Amino acid sequence: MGVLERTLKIVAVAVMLFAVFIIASASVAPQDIIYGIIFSIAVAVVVSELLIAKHTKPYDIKRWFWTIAYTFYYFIVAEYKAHSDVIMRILHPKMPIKPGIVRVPFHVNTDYAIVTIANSITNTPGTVVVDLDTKRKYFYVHWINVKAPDEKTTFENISKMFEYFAKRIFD
Amino acid sequence: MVISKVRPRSEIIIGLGVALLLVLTLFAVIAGATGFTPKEDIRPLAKFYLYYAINWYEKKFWAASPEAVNSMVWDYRGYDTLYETSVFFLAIIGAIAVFRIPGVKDVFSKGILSGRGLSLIVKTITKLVIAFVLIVSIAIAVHGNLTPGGGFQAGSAISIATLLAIAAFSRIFLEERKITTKLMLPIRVLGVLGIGLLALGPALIALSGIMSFVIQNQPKPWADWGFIPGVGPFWLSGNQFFYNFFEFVAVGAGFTVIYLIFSIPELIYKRVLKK
Repeated sequence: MGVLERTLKIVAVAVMLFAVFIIASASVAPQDIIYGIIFSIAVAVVVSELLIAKHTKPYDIKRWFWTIAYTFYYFIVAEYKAHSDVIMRILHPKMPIKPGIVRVPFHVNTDYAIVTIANSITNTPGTVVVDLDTKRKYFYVHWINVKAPDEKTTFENISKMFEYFAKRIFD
Repeated sequence: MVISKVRPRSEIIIGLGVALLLVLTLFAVIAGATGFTPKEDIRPLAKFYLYYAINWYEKKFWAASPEAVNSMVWDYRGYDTLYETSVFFLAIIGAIAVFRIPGVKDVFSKGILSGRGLSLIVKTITKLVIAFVLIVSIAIAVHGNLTPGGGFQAGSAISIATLLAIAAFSRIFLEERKITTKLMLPIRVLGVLGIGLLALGPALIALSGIMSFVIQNQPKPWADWGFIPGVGPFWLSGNQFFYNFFEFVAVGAGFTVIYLIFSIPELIYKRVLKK
């Protein structure tokens, strides 16, 4: 592993840690800026290998574009759809639920992409990831309204859009 | 042996006696047996510390720190903190002595127990959280003399990174990254040595004839010598910044040692003890 690759990884992690340091200190006084730079680099040296697998990824503008796009999509569109669906089921006099655990396939490879999809599924109401099988590439998802248990239906209904973005951000 | 199901009379008497004692104590305290009970408005003692902790116009008793609690911990009642640190230091020596069983480490390195850890989701998120814990605990340590927090709190916080790593990954995950008791023990000794030198430093200066006392921070009316309150943009509150830093190192490494020790399964100890 080259020095450049390692440096790029450290810088990327250090920038993130610096932001956390400044938020934690709630101060942008010269002293805190200097402390922040020193200690975020120090911590980044220790943890960067753990956090970043490929050095070019944090510097890819396209990935950042997709990250921002996903933030908007997820918190505005996906969350709204899921919430309104669950609220409807709660308020509906017949309470139309059909709970069950289904298998949802995924087609991404990196840890971050898998976790992004899993947490996106869990964070939207109505679906919770209860387990995952990284070898066979399945999530086991508890779904409030099982339309059909086959993989095509579950993928289309639960994780298709999450995967679309996660693949472009992390894979 | 026959165990009587009837509660013996002596137990009832002891129970009632303890209850009576507690009620009497309560009444005695209310009646003023402890003497002076501070009033609800600001207490004179607190007033003293709040007035002097950082006071640019009257530096006679100041500690150069806007964080009054930290000034008490490291300056006004520094001896107490020194002893606390020593007690904690010795307590961990005790723990290490109790758990020192030769051969335990071999069981791990030979891979008889190979930890698989928790799911990928937990592992990935924990990796990020560990990074955040490390940087935030350093932030707590270096702001100890300015905002609530300090060396002990920061040390406790950073050791949580170890605990998280053990829970989400395994003890082996840490050992592979050289986070071992072997490394942590000298680090915590360095931390305590630093605190000791800071405390004794002023006394050594007294040997050269300048009036100063053990654990002194700022100049006092009877001792002219003192630590520089700050350098350039860095406000250090004299020696408080360094006390916090060394305490952070000592406590962080100390708790890490304890968590590493606790993560050895009982099974292994028993197996080694039987040999």
